[in-house]
Amino acid sequence: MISLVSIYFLIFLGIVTLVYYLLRGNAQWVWLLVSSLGFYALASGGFLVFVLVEALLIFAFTKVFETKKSKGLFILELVLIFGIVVVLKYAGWFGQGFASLLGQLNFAGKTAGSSLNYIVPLGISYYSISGISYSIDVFRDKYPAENNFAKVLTFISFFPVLTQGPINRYDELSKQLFTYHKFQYENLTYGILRMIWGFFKKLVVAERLSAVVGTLTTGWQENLYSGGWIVLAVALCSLNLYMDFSGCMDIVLGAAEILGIRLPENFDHPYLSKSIPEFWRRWHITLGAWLRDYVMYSFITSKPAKLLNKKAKDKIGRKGASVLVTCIGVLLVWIVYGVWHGLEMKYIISGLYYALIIIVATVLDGPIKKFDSRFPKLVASKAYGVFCAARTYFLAMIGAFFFFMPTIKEGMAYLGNIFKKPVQGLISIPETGIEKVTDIKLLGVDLLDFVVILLGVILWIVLATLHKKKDIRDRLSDMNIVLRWLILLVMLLVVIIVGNYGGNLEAGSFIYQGF
Amino acid sequence: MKEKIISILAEINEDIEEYDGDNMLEDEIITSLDIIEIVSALEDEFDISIKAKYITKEQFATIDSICELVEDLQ
Repeated sequence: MISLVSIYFLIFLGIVTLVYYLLRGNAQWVWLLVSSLGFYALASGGFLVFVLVEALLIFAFTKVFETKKSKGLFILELVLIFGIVVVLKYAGWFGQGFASLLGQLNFAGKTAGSSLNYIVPLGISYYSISGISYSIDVFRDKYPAENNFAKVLTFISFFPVLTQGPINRYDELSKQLFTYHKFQYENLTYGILRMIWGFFKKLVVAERLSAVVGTLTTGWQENLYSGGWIVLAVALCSLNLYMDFSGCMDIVLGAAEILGIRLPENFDHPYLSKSIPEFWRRWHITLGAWLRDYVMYSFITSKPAKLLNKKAKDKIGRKGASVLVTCIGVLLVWIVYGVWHGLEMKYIISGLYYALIIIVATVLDGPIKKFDSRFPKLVASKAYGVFCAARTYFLAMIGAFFFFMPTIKEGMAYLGNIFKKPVQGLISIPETGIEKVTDIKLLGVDLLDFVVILLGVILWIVLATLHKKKDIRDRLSDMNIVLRWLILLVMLLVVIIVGNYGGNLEAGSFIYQGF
Repeated sequence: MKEKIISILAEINEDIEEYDGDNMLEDEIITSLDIIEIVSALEDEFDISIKAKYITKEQFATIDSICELVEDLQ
């Protein structure tokens, strides 16, 4: 098994980079293709066949779309691609017999995390929707179909993004993938720095947070934790998800940057957002953009939506009609969002949770704008900005919490404990008579781990604030060479010494690897 | 035609007329709510059909780019 946080990945990336810069012209991207297929085979075994099948389907259909824009064929392609995803990803829903058949056919490779323990081919949700976006763009005549199958396969299987995104667009990534990249010292150092920062977030902070969150969110079964700790669990779930996923993106973007390829950002300081719609433009940006461009815009420009808009205009006015169509579009987008994560009810409800908040914001768009224009000084004040950001963080925190709970029902029961026994002491185990925390190890970590988490979060806040004004790496390169290398060395040592590895110098898998 | 488009856009969202940046969609001046109204109003006024492929940050960047889109579709 090769994962992004294993020593094997660093060795792999080192070899790929070395050979990559020794090659000239087209040999570079051919090498990337070979490396990507090798990476996937090492990471996910027999599931490589599905990457090849999907790439072949997408290549064949897009070639047909060049001459024949058949909606029937387009729907057939979507059914085939999503059919593969649904059957494989949700094999558990089709019975254990199918799952065991796949296992016998040696497709078990590595199953990504799932509470139902069904077979999930690594990265299938990511490479499938990247491929679909290429197909839709060709169908929409945004750009012509690619003539070379190997290039389509390289786009779909590019190894840094294969398992967790970011979700790419063919027109943007292909310009970089199929261009010769001369070795540049800056790409190497900037890429390595970004990767170290990603390893810091994942290994130093997220892995420890995972231990705490894991302990606290499984405690509900025994009715173990009282109010204070449940509030802490809810707050930490969101932070854990961010540190884990954004840390992974730093590693992915850094690895691609070493190869001279700039990938789209997936996070833009989401916790500074002042509303949930803004939060979703800053969190998992490439998935949000995909849903906007291919689901929302497709819906609002569809014939049924235009017809509904026209009919509704006569009854509820122009504004009311557009609010109605937008709300249906929002609902559609968030159902797709939920299903993309999994067929488990908690993901669907999670999508509907965000849909409800955005629909309320859409319906109240008029009154909100009136409020803003009536109280411009208040709206522009720092205090109001902090209030809006805190409100958004709270709503996003609740959404993230349910991601960690086995089911919505159990999550609700867990939250209910906040009010049932808020003052019984921080921890209460009736059978043992423990009423207060006397041993912090009951939370899965020791005190030092809490200190590391706290310091890591403080460092993240400081660096994120500085980075917003100017890229941290630019700041470092402006520094004296001795100081620059000293900082780099310290960061590296912190990751190596304080990093929370698994047994084989391999940390736990990323949370978003399971989707 | 440009004056007509400006008045349509301003009626939907007055911030559009005052906007002096280089990308209304990226700067979130135009929301999905506005897009529905803009598409509907432009289609009715100029007898055109605006499909999803035209709703891009390039086409909806400025008033001028929206005017160009309408011209191309006529």
